Amino acid sequence: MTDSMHRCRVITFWTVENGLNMADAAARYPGAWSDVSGQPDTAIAAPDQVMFEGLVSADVLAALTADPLVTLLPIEETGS
Amino acid sequence: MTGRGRARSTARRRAGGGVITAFTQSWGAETVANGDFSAWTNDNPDGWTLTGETGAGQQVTQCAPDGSAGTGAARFVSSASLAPQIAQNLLAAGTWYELGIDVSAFTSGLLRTALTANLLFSSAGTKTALGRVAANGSLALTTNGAAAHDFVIDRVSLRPVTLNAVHPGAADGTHTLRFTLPATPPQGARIELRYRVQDDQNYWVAALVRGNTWDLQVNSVNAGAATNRISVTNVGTPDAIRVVTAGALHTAFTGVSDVYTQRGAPVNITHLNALTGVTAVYTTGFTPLALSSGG
Repeated sequence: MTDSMHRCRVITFWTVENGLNMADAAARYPGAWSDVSGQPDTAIAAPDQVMFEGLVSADVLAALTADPLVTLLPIEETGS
Repeated sequence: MTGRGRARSTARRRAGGGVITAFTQSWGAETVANGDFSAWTNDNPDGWTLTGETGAGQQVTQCAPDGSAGTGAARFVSSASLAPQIAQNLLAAGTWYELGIDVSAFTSGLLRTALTANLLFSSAGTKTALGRVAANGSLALTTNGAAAHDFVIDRVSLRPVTLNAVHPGAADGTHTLRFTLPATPPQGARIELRYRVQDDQNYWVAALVRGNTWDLQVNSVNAGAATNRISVTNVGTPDAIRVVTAGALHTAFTGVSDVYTQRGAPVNITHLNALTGVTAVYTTGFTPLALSSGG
């Protein structure tokens, strides 16, 4: 794992984890994830798509790149 | 400024700028009978309704906490989708509960139970969950799915929780909850800073949640359904969580010794934008210290 962190955006989908609507990518990959789409609560239903922004490690970025369930939109690399 | 104007101004500052240090959240008596699995009759745990047994390959049987021959724990074994289940009719609609489960040995499978929604556990250790039950019903523990299951439960606890009062705070501004963490947090331990609270089914929450590490979540909650908006894994061992709100914009932080670190990117979501209620909710072991909400 490298020191650098990578900012990215992903198109993922809503899933339900222990009663919580979670973005699938955020539920499965460690990092800092934030909802970019801003959908109102009443419009959210799994498995509708959603866009999240992430700050993730190089290893996680590689895994996201290879994940067929995630559409990855790299935007920039930051320092550690 | 007129006298009436001064009074309004003072009241506004008090409502939005106070620091709450008195917390009254309390736990009721234990509701589970034979939750320590000390009493058995014909290899069935007393007090529990047992279903789904078909034989030695699919059963709940008495054992020692480590899964060896002995007493004081319940071993779940199954390889079929018709799962062995133990249940007690304990749940009352509209009640908040804290659930505790000790999985004292784990070989394989999934343990399923439910409060607000299904909870799945796949490892040994102490688990906890806090949730509001929507309907009267049973607390059930069962295997989940048709894979091979083999695990041991040593303790089940369910206690009703009376939440802290909701205090007037600010819709826009800085909301902060300071606390001390439990020394040995179980999986699922959590402390919540609830803000823009309408009631216990509609609010915003910044929660520090124990998985393998301490993780931060910011969730919007509508009609009891929670949606994650910010999720940050492994935030260290903070002693505070903070959210700064401005209209639909929410920026989350964790704090250590009054130094705050932004977590995740701000989110822009319209939900209960004008509400001002704040409160704290937590599982056993946290010590809340101060809650503030002000512009």
